[in-house]
Amino acid sequence: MREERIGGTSPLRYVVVLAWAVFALFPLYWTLLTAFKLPKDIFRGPFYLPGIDFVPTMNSFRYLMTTGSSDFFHGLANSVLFASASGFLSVFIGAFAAYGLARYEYRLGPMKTDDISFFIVSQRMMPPIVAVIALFVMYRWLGLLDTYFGMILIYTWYNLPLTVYLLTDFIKRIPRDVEYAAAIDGYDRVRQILFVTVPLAFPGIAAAFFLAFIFTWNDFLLALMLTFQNAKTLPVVIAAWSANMDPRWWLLSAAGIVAVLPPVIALSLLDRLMDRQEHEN
Amino acid sequence: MAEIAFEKVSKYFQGVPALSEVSFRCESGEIVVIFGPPGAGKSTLLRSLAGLEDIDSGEIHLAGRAATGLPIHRRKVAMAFESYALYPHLKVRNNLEFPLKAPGVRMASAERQMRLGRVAELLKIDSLLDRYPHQLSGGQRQRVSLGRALIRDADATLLDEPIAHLDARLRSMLRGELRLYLQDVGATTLYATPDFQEGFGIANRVLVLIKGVVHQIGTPEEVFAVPADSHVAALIGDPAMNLIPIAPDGTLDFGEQRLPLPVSVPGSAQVGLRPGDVALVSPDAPVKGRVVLIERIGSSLVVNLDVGGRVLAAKIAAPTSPLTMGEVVGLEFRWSEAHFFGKDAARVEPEAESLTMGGRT
Amino acid sequence: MKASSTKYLLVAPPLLFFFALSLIPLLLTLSLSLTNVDLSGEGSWVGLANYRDLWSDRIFVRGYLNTLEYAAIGVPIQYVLGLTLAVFVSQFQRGRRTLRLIILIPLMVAPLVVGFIWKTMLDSRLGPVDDLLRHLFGVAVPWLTDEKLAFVSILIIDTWQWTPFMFLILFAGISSMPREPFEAAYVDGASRWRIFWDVTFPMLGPASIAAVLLRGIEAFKIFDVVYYVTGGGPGSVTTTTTLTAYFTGLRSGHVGYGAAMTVVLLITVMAFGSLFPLIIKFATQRRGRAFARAVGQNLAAARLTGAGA
Repeated sequence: MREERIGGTSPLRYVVVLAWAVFALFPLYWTLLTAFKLPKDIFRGPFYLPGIDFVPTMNSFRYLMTTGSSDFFHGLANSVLFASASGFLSVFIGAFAAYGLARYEYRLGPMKTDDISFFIVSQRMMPPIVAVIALFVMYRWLGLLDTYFGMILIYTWYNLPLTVYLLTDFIKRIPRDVEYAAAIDGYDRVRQILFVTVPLAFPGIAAAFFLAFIFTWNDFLLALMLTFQNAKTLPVVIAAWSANMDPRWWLLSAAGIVAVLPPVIALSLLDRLMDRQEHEN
Repeated sequence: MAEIAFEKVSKYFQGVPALSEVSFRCESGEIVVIFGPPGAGKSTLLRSLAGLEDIDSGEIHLAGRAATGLPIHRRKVAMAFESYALYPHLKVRNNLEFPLKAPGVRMASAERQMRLGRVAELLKIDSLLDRYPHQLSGGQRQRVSLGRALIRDADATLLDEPIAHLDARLRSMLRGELRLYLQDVGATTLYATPDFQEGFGIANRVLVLIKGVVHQIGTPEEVFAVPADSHVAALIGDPAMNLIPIAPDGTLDFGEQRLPLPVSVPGSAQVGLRPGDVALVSPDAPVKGRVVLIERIGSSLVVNLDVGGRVLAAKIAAPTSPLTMGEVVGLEFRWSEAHFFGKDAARVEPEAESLTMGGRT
Repeated sequence: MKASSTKYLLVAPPLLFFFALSLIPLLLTLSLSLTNVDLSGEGSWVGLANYRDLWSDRIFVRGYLNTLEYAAIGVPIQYVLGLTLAVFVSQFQRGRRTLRLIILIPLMVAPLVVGFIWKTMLDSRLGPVDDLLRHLFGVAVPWLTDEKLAFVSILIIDTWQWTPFMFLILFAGISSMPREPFEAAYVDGASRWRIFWDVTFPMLGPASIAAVLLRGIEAFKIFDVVYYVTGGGPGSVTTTTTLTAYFTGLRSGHVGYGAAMTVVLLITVMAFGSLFPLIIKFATQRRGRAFARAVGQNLAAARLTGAGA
């Protein structure tokens, strides 16, 4: 996209964008900084420049990786597990539904294909808290509270509307003719999908996975409500740590940085993926 | 390499008939051209055989088996799509090989390569084999699509205007080579095209399809020499046959000019005269026309004349004295070659004696 | 082609999920809200009593009003900022993608972590914000401990995180605009300001509606940040409905009562969500069907980013 001068250019653009960039990145920078500080560096007041104001140290990270951090690891491992598993499952299940919705006509009583789509996607409108109170009761009754299965289940549910929506859109964009060509070339339906549709829908599949991963990774409310000890995730651990009056910011910052990295990496991968997709079309 | 049979096949799109009781047989190895104007139903016919369209009535047989109910991937039909439908994620060579790797096709790698090379050479796409579809021009994509259809051993090969988007030079070259290739391989082919020269040049037999109805089936020579009705007549020839209505009093109506028919053809409502059967003579002939268009085609001249409000086409050898636009010339018709059609468009034959008497006017 | 039964099988799993984890819980919540059940499972039917009691519950009312205010004040601010950013970023010839990535990062941070980050930022003693203010103006501002300021702090944090969302949608809208109207206006000698008001802004109508609609729906759900930064306080000044429902329902154990709170929230969100199609219909009547279709397209593109919890 080399569009120049949409609406003219203003010298203000540098000022505004720079100001916002500073506003957006400084808090993250600050947290990153804090993660490399010793407790005394924090309590003496804010310092801004590593190496000059204070000596950066891997203390916090080392602590997280070793001692008193079984909690941290536990939460981290769970987050990785839940995000990956629910990402994969929601994409897998969603892909089947998306293929159906994109290629076939449905009729369920008074509802037609688009209505079914809407049904699945409209779950987004409901604030999670509305379901969660009841889910707490249900989960308790079913014995699913604080279980891996329960959390993966709920996170898959959480991401399905998104993946179904995204993938339906993607598959619709693949012209049917290409599938017909494969049929004519002697490939049955399943093989058509495997050899033609899936490769072509791959960017969409990857995008859906990344997004599902990010949303699960970032979730707090569901984890807070439905886990205690066994299945708690990283955000829950971080929240629990600061229950004390004098929070150990250096540790929390380090944990925070760890918590921030995967989504940011996923975002840049996603961005690159989308760009390449645009380019090829 | 198999026979094709259509028996009274009809297909409707929202009440409108796309195919009306289409029936024909196609021998193994034959090249049958489905010839007709745009919208005739050519694509629908091909797609019905492929299984891409369901038919509403009638039966289709392929290689002796009934095709109805047979899923697409089991029909052993090869098709070159109008929209090309190339696999965007595969290189050209993999696009071409794709049908040869289908389940149920046992083919050694060496044979695959041999066919690949052969088809690539035929269609002049050997230099493109490692490109992706989005890196090809429209004409190149069309050739790859055609190649993909040709590379297989199919019971029927369906080509839907396969060279329409190529430049004229490539088109005329491919016409001949395609025919050779298809006959060599022995592929039973249905070739859809609205182009007269292309269709009649490549065909073993021609099936004229207009608005979903089969008007005539025959060899190109048969159809050309004896068109079954005026609709068919209007399509053949380059330029197409002139069709002139006959007034109730038995004369040709050219506005202020009237030309009585020198032949007696009871029941006729139209007469068809090929441009080649229209001669230009001195302006004191009974029928005069004004030159409105002159086109050189090879060594011939195609002249369009305004004859009393009606435009007729004449095809003549280059005249000794050049023609000019607006010039008024006389016309003569070779009545012995005329075709007559009745009110229902069907062919009518003139009374034998009147023909020999006719000659020229 | 495929047997009818198989195609229904394809859609069955998501529908099952929907049924089991959305529909049933929803119905359960609704029925719970009509009881005074507590965590031990004891309770009885009370009809609409909960809903009546809610409105005399100071904390709930505060939280509900806050929720509305966060949305009503935050969303427009985020819209304006996002629009400004989108317009300016689109004026860059090079480095757009990098800029966009940088701007988007705050959106990717887990809301809880956002809460943590800003809690340290706004700490009066050790945080950089007050440090800077002390150096510049000699005063430290009690961001999180003053009642009025705490509300503002939440808004600032919310804006930090969600402006990128608006930016994303509006920027996508600007990027997909045809160049001709701009070139024409430029050639006609229109000033930058004019071009913006008469060309850019109107053409962003569909994108704007999509952005505000989606962001609005998300805004009502605010929880993580408030939970971490202020815990709803000081007192209950900054609390939100989700927060009050959580505390009342699961911490204090008044499950039925808490459920009623969530139902009120749900109705609010749905009312908001249905308001918008009406606005669109109204605007479509004046601008034609293409407008509605454009809104749909923008909603589609926007859903790609979706929104967090």
